[in-house]
Amino acid sequence: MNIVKLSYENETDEQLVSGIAAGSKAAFNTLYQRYGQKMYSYFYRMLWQNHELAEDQVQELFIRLFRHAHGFNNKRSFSTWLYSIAHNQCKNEYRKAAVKMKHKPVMNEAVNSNAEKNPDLQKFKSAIQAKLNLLPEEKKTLFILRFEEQLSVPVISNILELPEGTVKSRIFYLLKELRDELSAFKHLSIYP
Amino acid sequence: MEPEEIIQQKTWEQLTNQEKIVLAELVPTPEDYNMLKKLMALAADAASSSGEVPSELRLKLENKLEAELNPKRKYRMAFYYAAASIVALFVLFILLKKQEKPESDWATLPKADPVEKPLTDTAITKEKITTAGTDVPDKPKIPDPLKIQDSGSIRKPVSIPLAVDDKQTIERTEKEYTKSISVQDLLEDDNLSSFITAVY
Repeated sequence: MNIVKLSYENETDEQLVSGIAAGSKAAFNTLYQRYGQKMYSYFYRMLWQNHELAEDQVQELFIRLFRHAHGFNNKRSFSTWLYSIAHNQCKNEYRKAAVKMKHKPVMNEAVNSNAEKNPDLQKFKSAIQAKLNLLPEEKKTLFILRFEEQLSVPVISNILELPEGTVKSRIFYLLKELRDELSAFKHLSIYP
Repeated sequence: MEPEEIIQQKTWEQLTNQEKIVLAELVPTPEDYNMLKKLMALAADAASSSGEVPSELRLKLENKLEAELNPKRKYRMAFYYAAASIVALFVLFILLKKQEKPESDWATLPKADPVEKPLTDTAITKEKITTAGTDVPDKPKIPDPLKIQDSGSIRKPVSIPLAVDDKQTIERTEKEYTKSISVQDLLEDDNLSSFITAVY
């Protein structure tokens, strides 16, 4: 007798992917609940704070997940796999943007949209955002994965398919670059 | 521990001498250290900057998923049908091919080029050189005409019907010949009678 599983709440991500591969919509919904918001936020920050673009990419990501669930290697971490797919999607978008160059107005609007009580802090945030938007794709991805998504170096090295040593050294030089670029904020009253 | 992890977890005052040495290149002063610490703190909060994921996104996704599921089944069935028909056609083709084989073998054989056999020099290898008194050549085997039995395989001469003109010519020639060699003629021939006398 076939037992249809109604709840996947206690399943691991990897078990849920197996469920999706078997055609379970409930497993898919559970996985969306876990990662939908997270991936939306990731795409939003990666893709010039553009809500529409982030929305499209989340749809695309989960459709891809559904299509390729049977090809998922259970030995691999699901979140790493998901971020790898998302990273590739972002790369595609960067490529498209390089051709079109149409996202610049969106980028500037997003930078100026936040209002803070502490003007120095607001300036600092804007400066970070402006700097991030100007960073090359690889550096921006590295910053977001390491400092915004708070992923570990081994996970990042898996997502970006780079050796751990390379990831570490790139993070080090990225921080050094940001320190120099934001040196004007060293003496402002923004620190605890 | 990685440099960025030290910065995130500790204040400048909490750093050990060893950690300060590790971080010396990246953050040589407390100001640099604090600035990067704030930068990382803001970055960690940035995840919430995107706001809530739109609720209609889930609906859109469900619709897409539905559309994805149904054609998938259709395509799968179509694929199975196509695969089955290909296999059936293949089997049919093999069966037909097997039936046609005896005839088609000759038909499909490539046109063979004539093989040239090396000619052996029979004049040298087989010829027997006879020497007087020693080797007597074999008698040629001539079949005795009396012993030959006609088993019906020997063709009889076919009588060719002669034309009327030809018959008349032959009769006339015979008559003239008989007429020309009469007894009188023989007696009158001196040479002939002297020859007969000489013989007898």
